[in-house]
Amino acid sequence: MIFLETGHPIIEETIRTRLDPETKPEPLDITCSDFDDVKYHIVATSSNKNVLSFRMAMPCYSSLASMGATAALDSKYGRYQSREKVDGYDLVFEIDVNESSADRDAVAKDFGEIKRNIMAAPFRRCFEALAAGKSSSIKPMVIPFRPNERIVLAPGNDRVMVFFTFHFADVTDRALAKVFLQEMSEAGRKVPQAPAVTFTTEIPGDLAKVREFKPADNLVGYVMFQVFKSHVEGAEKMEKIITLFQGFRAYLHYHIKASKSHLHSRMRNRVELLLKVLKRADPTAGDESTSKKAYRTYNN
Amino acid sequence: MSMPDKPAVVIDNGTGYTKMGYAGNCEPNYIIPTLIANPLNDSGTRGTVRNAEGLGDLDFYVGNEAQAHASSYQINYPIKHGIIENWDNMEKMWQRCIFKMLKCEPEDHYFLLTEPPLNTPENREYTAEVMFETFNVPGLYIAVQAILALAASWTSKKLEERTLTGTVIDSGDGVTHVIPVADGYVIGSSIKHIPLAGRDVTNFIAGMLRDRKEPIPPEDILLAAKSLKERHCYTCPDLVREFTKYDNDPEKYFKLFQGIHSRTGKAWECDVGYERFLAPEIFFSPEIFNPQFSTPLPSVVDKSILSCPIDTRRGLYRNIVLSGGSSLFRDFGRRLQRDIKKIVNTRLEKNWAQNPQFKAGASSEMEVNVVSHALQRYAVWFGGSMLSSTAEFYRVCHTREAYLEEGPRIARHNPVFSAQI
Repeated sequence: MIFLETGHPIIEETIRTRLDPETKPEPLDITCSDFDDVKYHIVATSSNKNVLSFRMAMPCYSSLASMGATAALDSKYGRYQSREKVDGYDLVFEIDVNESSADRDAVAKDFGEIKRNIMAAPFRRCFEALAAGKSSSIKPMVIPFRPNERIVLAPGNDRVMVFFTFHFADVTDRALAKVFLQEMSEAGRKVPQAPAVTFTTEIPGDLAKVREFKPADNLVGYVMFQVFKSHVEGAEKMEKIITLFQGFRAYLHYHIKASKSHLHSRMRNRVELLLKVLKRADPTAGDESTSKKAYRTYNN
Repeated sequence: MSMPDKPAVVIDNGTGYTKMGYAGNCEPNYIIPTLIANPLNDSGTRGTVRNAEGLGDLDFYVGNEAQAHASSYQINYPIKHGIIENWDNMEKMWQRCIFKMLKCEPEDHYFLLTEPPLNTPENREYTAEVMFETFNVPGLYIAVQAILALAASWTSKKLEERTLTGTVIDSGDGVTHVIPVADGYVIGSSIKHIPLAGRDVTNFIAGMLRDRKEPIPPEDILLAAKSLKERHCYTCPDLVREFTKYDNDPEKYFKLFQGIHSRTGKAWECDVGYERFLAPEIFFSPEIFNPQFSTPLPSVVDKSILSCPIDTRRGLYRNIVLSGGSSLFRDFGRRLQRDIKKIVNTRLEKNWAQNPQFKAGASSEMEVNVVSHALQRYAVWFGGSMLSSTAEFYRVCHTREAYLEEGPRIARHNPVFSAQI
């Protein structure tokens, strides 16, 4: 498993079983988290068991709203939107169990991917303009998707530049992230059709020109992708590239932790080998028969 | 310390199943077999280290997916008898659980893990090392399963009755433990194990069905026995009376069980008779199943409590808590309570007969209570979920700062806390 799936399995499972007409309507209260500080809360109260209230907290939603996220939500989730406001949550939806039970798989999938669909909005706006050849008309967008990290979309005449800034608190993580990203930009050269990717520790010139962007302290570095028209032609291609971009941070993080696990298992293996060597050197070790043999040879 | 905005993650790694989810929920978000499937290699044992090229280290499956790949991968259960044996595989399993299933960033969530009673402090250190070094968790607490089970039983009690003293009967799939706990500390020398649990009940039913030559396809018989156990079995107060009841009115008590042949897809059905009450009976009269082991569960519980310090015994009898899937049979708790009470009262009366001078001084008779509650099946996980959603949890957690300052030894001791909710 190299990639992480886009949908959230807990949400999909919860909604799917709940919308199944065979499930007994019981009160429900499920909290769960997602990458990038997102939090969900699915509730069905005992007084109103046939309505699922789906709440979502997404710290960067307020900035995304002006970048087309509201329109994206309206088109896809418009019929679920609720007027109710819940403290601590940015978005509230209501799913009517009876109405939605017919196409429950689709509804479950939609809500499982809601974070992806919100994050996709600014990307889609840029890439659609790029495909239409009007990308220079769009202003650069800065997405504050995590406290110290930003995604910056800077459309040019024939391309869209996507910048990621990364910040990891732990020293080991920072080192691994750096190696990983350097390797990635090296590997990128061998794939001619892929968007060009570069990794720098200094702020790239094109990013410095974006006035809205202020770099945080202690960044691991900057990654720049250059997306050309050929990368976003056709709906399928565009959806795929958007999914990959919005999941890039989680992907990187997952692989850092996986490399650490791998390093640890190699360390354990090496320790075991060294212990074996040490045990061989220990004259008192070994079972009785071998020690007797050693004794005999000593006497001879 | 104030409570962070994000819920803690609770992972209960059991021998058979891993229960995990976010704190505050009533049921675990995932229940998967504690199982990992590594790619096969020529030497056979260490899949990952040999295949270090490229992405070989990510080529593995956990849980149900591992079961599906059992034919082409090498299967390993990283936990044996409740204790983690294979740390490589456990670390990989946690990694997959956190990123793929729970989808959380371990940096942002506190973690509550569980351990069996009598786990070694070294294992706790190792767990802390993995959690803090690999996953950079901000805080970690390792709780004893029995204590979480006690905490889970609070849901059925009044506020003033909530204590951390009691006897936990944890009956899962593999083995049944009786664990006395006094004020949140496990009395290790008095723990008793019983080699009878869910799997044995299933085997007993399967054996009865086979003996009766029920028309069940042989490859489905264990699965059928398992779901029959879950749906129809119950504990009876008196075997002889139950038999006559069945014989007098078979229409009412005999059930029909329907299934589908897993290979041919044909439907089949069989009768369900005495095994409905005989199967759970193996806890109370084990000689009908296993001639080598013949001490009934109530006497094991009684012996275990009797071996505890004398000043804790009243509390231990008063609060006997059930946990685990095999304690879910209807009236299991009631039968257990009756039988233990019988043993205790007989002994008490014998003592009084010998030493009548004590009778006048005895304050009251011994109170025996067996507590059943709604969340018994995943009691350990639920207890963890409940405790880790309180502010008290964040106070006792080992933090990352403390770990970096002092090293893994901080995890040797996990202070008991009783949260007032």
